[in-house]
Amino acid sequence: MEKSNKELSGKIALVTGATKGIGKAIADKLASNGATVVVTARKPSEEESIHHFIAADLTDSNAITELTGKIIEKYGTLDILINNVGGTSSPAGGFQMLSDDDWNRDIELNLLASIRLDKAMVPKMIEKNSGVVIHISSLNGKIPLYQSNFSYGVMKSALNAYSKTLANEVAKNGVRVNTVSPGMVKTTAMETFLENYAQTINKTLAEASQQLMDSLGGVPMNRLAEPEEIANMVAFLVSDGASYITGANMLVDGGTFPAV
Amino acid sequence: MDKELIGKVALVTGGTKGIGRTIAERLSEAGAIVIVTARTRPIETHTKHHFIASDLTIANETDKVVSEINEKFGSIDILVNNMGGSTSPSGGFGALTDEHWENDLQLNLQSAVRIDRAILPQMVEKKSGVIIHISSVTGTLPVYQSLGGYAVAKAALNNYSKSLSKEFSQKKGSGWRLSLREW
Repeated sequence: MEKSNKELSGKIALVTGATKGIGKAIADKLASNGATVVVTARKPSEEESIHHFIAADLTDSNAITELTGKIIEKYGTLDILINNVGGTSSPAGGFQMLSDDDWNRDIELNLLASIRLDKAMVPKMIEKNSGVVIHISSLNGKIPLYQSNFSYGVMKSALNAYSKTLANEVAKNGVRVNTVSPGMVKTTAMETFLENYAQTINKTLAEASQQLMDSLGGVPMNRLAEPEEIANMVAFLVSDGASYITGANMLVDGGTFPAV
Repeated sequence: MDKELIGKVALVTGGTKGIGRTIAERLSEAGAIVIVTARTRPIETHTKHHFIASDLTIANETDKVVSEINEKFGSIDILVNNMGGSTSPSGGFGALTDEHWENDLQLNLQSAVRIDRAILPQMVEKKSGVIIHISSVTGTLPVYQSLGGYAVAKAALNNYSKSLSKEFSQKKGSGWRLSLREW
């Protein structure tokens, strides 16, 4: 391959949950900026991909040990860790719809998966005094939405606190840790979610989408984000241009978050 | 003190020591019937409080406690989710195992979710009730050296409490509200 001097040339990056949506956009962007990108998902994508795919269910702690083993064996190191995996299959409809199982699943997928992976990988970054970790959170972590996303929002708040705490701890070791909180993004996961939500509240897809935007207090840009618009922020945060940014929670939300 | 809580039934979890015990005493002085829970009965018992031994980090203990209270005292008007804490080691991120994280979440978040789930329907039905979640300043100001998992669980609790108040304040009759306290 042609030796290039792109800003991420020579860097090894891992993006979890990266065969679709935001994760895929991040993987593509980091690769186009020169990084070697490893992606995970439970199942491989049906589309062809230029990235190194490793199948892993990150709610399974053994799968994480196996995944990190494979990466270290093949590349010897990891420079960029994007904890993108997350989501929810909990029912909409508020507090009383949520069982212990729903809560446990949301905790595993949105918090513990990142913690386990960080625990395996951050020590390698500390050793070489260099590395960047990103946690993909959600605007829901800052704007609770009981109607649609109760437990998911709670876990994203926990993730925000966790990311900030980790950032403070490892800043002295040359490792930067940041959070990116997207608002509503045009992904298949969002589509599926909206379809289910529309069904639950007995509305059309367009009405459900509008209601979700309204429950956020309105989206000033009046549209959903493209996944690439989230990836652009991540690409900046992992670059040397962001060398003084750690412990930040960057909102990419078309102006949605209402406070100063 | 004004006996402004006469006739009210209050549950204070983790109410035998420290903040919980002080809350229980205060509510009781204001006239409430106060039920406290803890895993073990305190050596020095407060005769004016009703004590139920229970480990509320265990899922099926919750219903047992709530039905015992309903049977003996009627429906609950005031719920103070005070229990919380952490036995996780200090020393930062690397010192915390999966088990520490899970314990911190059970003790500081999921126990409250379960009690609320068991008690809220009574409050909604009579259009009246107050729920307090005792959180911590670490939920907004993380302290990695000593309280990683605890702080993360408290941040989750803050979001949870806010969401719950948004959902149920609109089902209001008079006097329905839900508060979050930090210390």
